[in-house]
Amino acid sequence: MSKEEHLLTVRNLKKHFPIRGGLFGGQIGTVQAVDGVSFTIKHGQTLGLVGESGCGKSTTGMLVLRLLEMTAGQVLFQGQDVGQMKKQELRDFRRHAQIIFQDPYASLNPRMSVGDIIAEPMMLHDIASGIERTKKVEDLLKVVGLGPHHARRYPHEFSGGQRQRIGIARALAVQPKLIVCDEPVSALDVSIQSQILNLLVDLQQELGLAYLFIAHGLNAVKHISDEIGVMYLGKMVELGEGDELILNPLHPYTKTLISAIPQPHPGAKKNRIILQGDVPSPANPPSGCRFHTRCPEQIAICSQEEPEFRQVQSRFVACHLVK
Amino acid sequence: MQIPLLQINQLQTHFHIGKRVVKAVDGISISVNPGETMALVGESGSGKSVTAMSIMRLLPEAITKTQGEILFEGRDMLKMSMEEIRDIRGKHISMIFQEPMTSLNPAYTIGEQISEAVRVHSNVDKKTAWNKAVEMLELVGIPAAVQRAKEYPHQMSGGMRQRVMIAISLVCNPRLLLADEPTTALDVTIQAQILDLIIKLAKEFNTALIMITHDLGVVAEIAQNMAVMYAGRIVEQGRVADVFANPHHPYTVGLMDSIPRLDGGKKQRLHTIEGVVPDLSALPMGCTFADRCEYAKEKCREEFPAVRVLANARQVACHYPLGGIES
Repeated sequence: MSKEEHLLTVRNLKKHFPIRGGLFGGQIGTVQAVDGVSFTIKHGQTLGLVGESGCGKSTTGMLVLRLLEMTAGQVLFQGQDVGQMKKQELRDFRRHAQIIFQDPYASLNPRMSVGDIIAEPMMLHDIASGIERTKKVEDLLKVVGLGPHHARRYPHEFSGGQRQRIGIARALAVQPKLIVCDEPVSALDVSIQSQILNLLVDLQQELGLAYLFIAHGLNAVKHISDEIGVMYLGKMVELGEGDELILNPLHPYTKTLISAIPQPHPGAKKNRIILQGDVPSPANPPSGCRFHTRCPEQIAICSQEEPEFRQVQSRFVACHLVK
Repeated sequence: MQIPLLQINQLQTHFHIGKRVVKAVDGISISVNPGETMALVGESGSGKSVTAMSIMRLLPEAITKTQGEILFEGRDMLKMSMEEIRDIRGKHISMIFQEPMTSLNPAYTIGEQISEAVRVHSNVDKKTAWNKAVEMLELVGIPAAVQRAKEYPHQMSGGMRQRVMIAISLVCNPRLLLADEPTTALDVTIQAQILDLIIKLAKEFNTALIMITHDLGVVAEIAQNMAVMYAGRIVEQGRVADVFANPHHPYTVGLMDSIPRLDGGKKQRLHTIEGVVPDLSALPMGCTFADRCEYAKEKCREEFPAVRVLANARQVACHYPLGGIES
């Protein structure tokens, strides 16, 4: 595999947040939100990140775009180290990498018209001006399934699904190569979800976009992703080709996650694995394998030694049981 | 024939806000037998939560106009005094909400909150009620129940809080439990735990369950009967296995086809239902779904489709139902 194929390479990415407290507000601990995550995304492909709340998937998305400073590790975008970029380089990078947020209500400025919202990134990056910009805004609105007349309206006049379309149009305004989609459909109703998922797939095929698609719903992730990474408590536990990973999960956590989703097949045989307890706190993660406290298949070594994230055939997995 | 535990006939719940009338629930009829599970499915604004709130009489009376009948064990709850309703609430019918944090009182320990429910509805002393609370906590799977009973809601995780809510709602052994999206705010692995618990306890206590959800997966796993709601009306109802096997209403079909499935193809086009839910204060004259329906004909926009009763307690409200029944 040649290097040029990878649009984004993430190596051993870490983010530790300090916990402050005590009388003088000193550091009394760290939350290991992301702790050694590695993956790559190819041009025009989708990597899905799944996991439960607190597993570090959204933090990973923020780190990739350097909306948060990483503690350690490396993010390479087209071979360039994002962590080392200076101000101007970072601006150029952001032209190529954009983000769509979960909450379409909170991520649009209520005092700007939709046209201004979509034009703003073009203004910031000096793409088109005057009539050309207005024309581009209209085109973008059309691309995401809205009309040119929507440009003069304000975000509160739109439904959740339409707002998410506006967020997508804004991200597309600078013609990016990579879009981080942070739970883009989680807040939407089922029938609207499918509209947005279809739109994302269409745009990818037309414009050759790459997505880092972050979600907790495995169904949506499976639908849109070429590769899927499963995260648990700041660690990537399994990474592999989407269909294969779902059909034949290797890590016990992946197996649990798949079995836990209620499937719309009444009377289907259920071999649901029910986990005991809650996700432990990332401020005080368990020793050894972080999943061992809830793992139905744990053995003696799991609580002592942390499993290495290694390649098993075409898959990457971090588990002592997988040979 | 069995007498239904709960029978709702032509329930209408309209909100009068200024000059507008919001028809949140507009003529629905369902019945639930003892020990049975019925799922109310629909998207936001379809009226499923308002239905539950109407049963519990939890809506602000000043702006709410409710019509029809809600027969609980044969008695019409809409005609009862507030005192009678209070006696039923919590004791015979209880409710679990989506957000466990806002439904628990942050200023009291969970033990106090569970024993309060006991003491309101039965004449026991504090000690007995407390012991009952601890026993319930053990039953809903909270480890070290004796200690945890002395803790406050903020000391517990979302899943734990929902367990506490279940403990409160079942402590008086109600005959009907209304669960309004009880697992929507939870992570999948925790959702699996909670669903399992609700099913297990409902069986153990022989409690009938009305499960309100937007997730067809949840419906398929736990319910025997289902009603699909759209814009305040039930568009289709029947046994879960029948409805899934052969949905008749175009909205049900659309809903089922639009969910991405784990066994579906990668990046395959999903079915979509174009458009958005209509404004409940300005509903169209004909079928409320006609504007979004790919099969809609002229008649659909002019005439409201009546509910048709088919075999196996199947009902559908559509002029041109799908799936091999003639119109």
